[in-house]
Amino acid sequence: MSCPKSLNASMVEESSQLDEAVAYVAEEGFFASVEPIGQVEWDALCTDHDTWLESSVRFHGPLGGALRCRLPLALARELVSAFLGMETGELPPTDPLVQDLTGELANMVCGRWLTDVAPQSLFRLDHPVVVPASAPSRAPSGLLNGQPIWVELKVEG
Amino acid sequence: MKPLNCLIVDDSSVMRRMVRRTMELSEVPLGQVHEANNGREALDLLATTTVDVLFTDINMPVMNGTELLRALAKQPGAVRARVIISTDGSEARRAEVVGLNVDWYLEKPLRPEVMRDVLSKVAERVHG
Repeated sequence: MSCPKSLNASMVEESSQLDEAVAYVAEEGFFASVEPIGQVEWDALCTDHDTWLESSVRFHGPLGGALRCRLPLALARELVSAFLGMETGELPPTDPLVQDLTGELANMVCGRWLTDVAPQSLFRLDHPVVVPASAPSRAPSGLLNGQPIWVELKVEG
Repeated sequence: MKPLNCLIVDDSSVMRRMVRRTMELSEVPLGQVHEANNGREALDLLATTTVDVLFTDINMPVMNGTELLRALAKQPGAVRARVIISTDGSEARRAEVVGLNVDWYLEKPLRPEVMRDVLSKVAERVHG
């Protein structure tokens, strides 16, 4: 399949569409909003969490690449609770649902972003991979439920 | 009203639980709610079990949702209603499943009110 004219590197680098995809998934999936955050506030918040998870999803099609989401374990547990209508306290930090939801978060954001930027193209997404991570030092995508979330997209052409 | 027997096909356990939860919130009477990890497991289950409505993801290992629907297209009476629930809402993906007897194409994340509408319409169809 050829790369559609509308799908090019400059478009992909346009971060607003990725931000919109994150906001869409937050609102529709977790009834939450994503708030912007400055670097100083981010640096302070990062130190409040010592356990982070990172999920990544690789996509293949007219363009290939990967989308990564990094978030505190505490936020991942909150999102599972919101997603499934559970109390956060019911959920052990090691519950497989926490890792599963973290992977599906990246999957949903990636799927939404691809749907928005290339609705005429077919993509294949690999199964999400979730690993423990360290706090990122760069500016985040924003605050979700008052906690930092970092979303990064790498397109390989 | 006869309760609806359902099958949820998704390789993510948290997604299967989310779909089941939205079904339970719909207030449409439910019978047995089966789950499968992929299309192959779903076909194995459907060989011995009848369901009113199938909810399937597209992107799954072993056998994906499109392959499952292609297999079921040869068995028109196996399932009364077929619903896709996918992160991929692209026009290209929607076009790919045209002709596979898909009744609804829903996007993740899924709102409970969308599930309620779909199940209500399935119930109307099943109960005539």
